Amino acid sequence: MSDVKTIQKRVFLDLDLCIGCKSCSAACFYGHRFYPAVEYGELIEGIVPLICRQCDQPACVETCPVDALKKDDDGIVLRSRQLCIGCRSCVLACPFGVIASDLAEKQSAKCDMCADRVREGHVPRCVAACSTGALSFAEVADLEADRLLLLSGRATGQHPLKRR
Amino acid sequence: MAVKFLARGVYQPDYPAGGWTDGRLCPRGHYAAELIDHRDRVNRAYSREDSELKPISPDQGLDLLAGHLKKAASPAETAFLLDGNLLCEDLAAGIRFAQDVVTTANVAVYVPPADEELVQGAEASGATMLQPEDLAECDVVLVVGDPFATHPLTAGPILEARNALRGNRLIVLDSIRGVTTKFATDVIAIPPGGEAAAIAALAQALGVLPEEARDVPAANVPDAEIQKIAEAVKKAKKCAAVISAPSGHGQGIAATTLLLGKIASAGLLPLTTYANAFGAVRIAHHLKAMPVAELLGALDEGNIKLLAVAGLDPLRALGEPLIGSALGQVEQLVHLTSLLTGLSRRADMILPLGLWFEVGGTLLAANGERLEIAVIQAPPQGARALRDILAQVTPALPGQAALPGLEPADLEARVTADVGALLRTIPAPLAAGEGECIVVATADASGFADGAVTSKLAWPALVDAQAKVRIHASPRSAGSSPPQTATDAGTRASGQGLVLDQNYCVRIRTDEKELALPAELTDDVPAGVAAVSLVFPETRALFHCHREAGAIRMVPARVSLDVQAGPPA
Repeated sequence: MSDVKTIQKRVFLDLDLCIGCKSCSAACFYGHRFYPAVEYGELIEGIVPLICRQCDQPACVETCPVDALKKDDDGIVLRSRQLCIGCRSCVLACPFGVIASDLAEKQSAKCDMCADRVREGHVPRCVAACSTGALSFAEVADLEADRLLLLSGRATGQHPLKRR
Repeated sequence: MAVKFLARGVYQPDYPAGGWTDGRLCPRGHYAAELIDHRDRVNRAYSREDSELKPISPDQGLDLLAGHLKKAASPAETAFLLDGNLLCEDLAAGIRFAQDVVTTANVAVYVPPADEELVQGAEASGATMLQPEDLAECDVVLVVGDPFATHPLTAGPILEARNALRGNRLIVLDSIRGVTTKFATDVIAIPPGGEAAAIAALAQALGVLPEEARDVPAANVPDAEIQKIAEAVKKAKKCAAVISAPSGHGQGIAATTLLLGKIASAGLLPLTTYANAFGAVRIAHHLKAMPVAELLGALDEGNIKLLAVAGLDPLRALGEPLIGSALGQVEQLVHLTSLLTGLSRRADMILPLGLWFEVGGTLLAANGERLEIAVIQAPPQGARALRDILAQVTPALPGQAALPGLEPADLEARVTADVGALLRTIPAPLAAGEGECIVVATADASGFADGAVTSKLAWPALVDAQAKVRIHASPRSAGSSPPQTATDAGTRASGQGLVLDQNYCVRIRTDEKELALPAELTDDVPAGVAAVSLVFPETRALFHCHREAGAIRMVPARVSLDVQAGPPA
């Protein structure tokens, strides 16, 4: 059983270190048995994984007509591939737009924070694979201690889109 | 890389902590999870009967191979072409099998031409060979090429060095604006193929240009920029150099690497495409394997009746023009491979090989360190290491008892190169003629440069990827004044500029062919240059491999472009 401290951590991206290699995307795909679980946005500055924020009151869970999405005891919002019917209600409901709108195998794809790894004390696959350490799995307080600016889940240097 | 086995046919990449990578894994490292149980994985032997490849047992395959070898009229009619990315034990076994058991001199080891030159230049420089983690302590890192794209894991230590202190420098020389240049403190734009001349100019400014370098062509880089870099290098406490060979041309890479080794006091990190390039080139050199160019010559002359190819697909790597017709003259083609490729489909016999972590063995790093690959799991039934296949065949051949294995001297003997010859042939930068563009290869973090493996993978980023040509974005508004230079590749016949938010396609004409590809307009590519990825067969065909002075050179095409609005027809 994971402790409360674990679920307080979230995945953050330091754009100053992202080189756009897509190791995170490959890790997610191969780690979820050839099923892409995370939407990626491509900026000039790099690849930006749109990571689920694991909301306290997830709109996607509320809106799902078949209860395919649930917030589990560890606070992770998980999606059942067996129940998902691909209606895209969650895609529309998510205020952060992190649920993949291009349906993979006719189902929505969503970050599950690699619950299988996190529960054992490891970091999510995208963080583990990241070539430069641009992705980190940390609590907000840790990032603020490093004087990084948080912007919608993206940690940056002085300027959100400018490299140091 | 590490892979976890979950269930039959289900593998996941793993990220074990420790070592300088601490479990980090680039995209290519993830593919092992798919390749182990890929639908094109070769798990059994095949023999061609009546134009069809029919499955046979592994032992039947070995008997057939021994039979073919015994039937050859003379050893000179038999040849072996080994992929340099096989493990050192397999390369040594392959060469010794050819030379001592079959008693033929026709054995060659293929590494990409750029890798061959990198190794030669590195060994000739006498510089300290660095590991990526050594870069983190340097205050000046001099980079040629785009290592962040070719070897993403090196980006961590390089950025750590750059960010450690205000004033630390990351100086990048490249002909297009790649990933690494976007993080650089200093960027020196050089013409395509101008790396060697630019580094020679820098070496001269630093007073370290060897005497053998005479008649160095002009670098076409402003002298003020060379002097600025020279000052930075002189003042550095620790200056390291990194070279990631542009894979699209073989222009003076050996000289570039050699000179970088002279310039960088802290040492050199040569980044090869093949992980075992240093092992392959050293073993081939020590055991006096034949140059690949010479083997191709023998094939062209029709002297080779039995060719055994282990590990690679030379059709893809070297190109059909260089090797296609030569292969047609071979009577028996044996392909020892882990995956079915285009060559397998032409083979008369296929024998399955195990992957690195199924057979275990040694890779050699640039600094001479042996990297041991442990066996994570057994190969599928029927697949074996090349050394084991050849060891089993050896007793079946007349007068042979056992096949010797890898010996320490095979990896310790450095490659000796004629330094003078390397430095006397510093090429001039390539220049586009009127209405021409030089094609250069962009580095790719996701795909394998020869494309043979990339096309087999299921990752959507690869499946959805398209061949395209990146060209300079000329005037940005429609109907604006004509472009600034006559050789600007973005020019339309009407003289109107290109609009950035429109789709364009490019009709490319070379001496031999014409093709249409989608175009991407970008400021990252200078005028007179067209940048393409080698991963796609269509764009790879724009580079020609040919034999020159006993070596294989890969040179880019000079093309003329006709830019048209809309997608390719």
